[in-house]
Amino acid sequence: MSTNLERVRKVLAGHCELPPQGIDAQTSLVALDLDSLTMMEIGFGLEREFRTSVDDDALSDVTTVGDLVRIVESCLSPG
Amino acid sequence: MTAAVLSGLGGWLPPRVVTNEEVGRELGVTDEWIRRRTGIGRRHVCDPGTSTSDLAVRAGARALSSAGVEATDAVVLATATPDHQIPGTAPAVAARLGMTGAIAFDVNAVCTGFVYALATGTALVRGGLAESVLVIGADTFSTVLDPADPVVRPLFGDGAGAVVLRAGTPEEPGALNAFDLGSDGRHEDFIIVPSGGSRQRSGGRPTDPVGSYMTMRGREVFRAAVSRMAESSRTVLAEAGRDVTSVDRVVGHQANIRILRAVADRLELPEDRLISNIDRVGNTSAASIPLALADGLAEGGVKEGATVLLTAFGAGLTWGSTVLEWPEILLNEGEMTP
Repeated sequence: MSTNLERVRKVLAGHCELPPQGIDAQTSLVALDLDSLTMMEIGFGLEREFRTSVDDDALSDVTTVGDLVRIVESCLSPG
Repeated sequence: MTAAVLSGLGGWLPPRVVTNEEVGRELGVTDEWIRRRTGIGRRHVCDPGTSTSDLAVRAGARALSSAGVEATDAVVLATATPDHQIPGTAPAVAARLGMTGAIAFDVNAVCTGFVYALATGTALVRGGLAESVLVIGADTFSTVLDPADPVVRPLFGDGAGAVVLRAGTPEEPGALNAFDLGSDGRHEDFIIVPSGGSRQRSGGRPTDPVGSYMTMRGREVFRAAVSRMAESSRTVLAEAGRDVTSVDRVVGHQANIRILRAVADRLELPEDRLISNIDRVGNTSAASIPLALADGLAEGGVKEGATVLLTAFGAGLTWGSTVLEWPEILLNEGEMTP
């Protein structure tokens, strides 16, 4: 079964060109050259992949791929 | 039971084309920047002195010709950019089309206006007030755009599109049997021209030139547009007893190709179901759905017998959807955006 990081990576790959060396939790989203619309689309992609609702405001504060994983995991956690 | 049935279609664009290069030179942005963010390559813009009614009359005449009729009992004009604050523009359009005496009024649901007007026209037919209705969507957003706004100005173009509805039966192809309409006025500031209305005039203040331009909160609009159009589409399909997978073509309000793609993704429909002419016309507000239908029909993307979903979102906020089996519609010569 895919880890959440792998699932987030899959969503990112659908919306931007990932670096050839790959990405990990520390990869900066600035380095991926994502504009605000693309971040919205990634939010939609995460919602679809994880079947959850992702808050826009939370997305505006993310800086790394790991932040995205944490946001998704917080949306998935029951509490 | 009487149903309203689609029987004619026509569109009209003002001849002046403004390319991304032209608009970009003035705003300091590139063709690539506009295309990547919006999918728009060019738009048509009115010449000075041309107004919404001029476009509406041309599109209306084409739709009447397509339907093979000379007149209808009613004219419903969807517009957010009427010729004047008072009166509504529809009576003048009706008169210029030779339909003095017809029921004629405007509907302002901004970019959702065409779907709202279609529902209104359908209600006139179902309620027995009209045997036939000319429904026009026409807007000249170039008149409310700040020429120096690099974010909003490239998005919009001027245009008009129209359909004819006639009385028929719910079983016929082209029958409009289901609508979903909604609004959320808590977010009226997401897309707004603040000046010129009673809110400003009642204060005795002179019209503020800057407030006469449209402002838009892009990120909020993007999210609301995608979620509302997808939700509304699912609602109207359920109302019509159709499954999402039965949709052959989605003709969404042409606001931004990325919004349309995100809607298709939410509906879990492949992108090739989308009909889009946004690259050639930009966002034409109330005109966008009939113009996209006309181009789709001319190019073969919209075919007789296809299940066609129409969905729109606009300022207000407003949203709306309908679904129909595409009937036999004859287009006029040259009915395609070049």
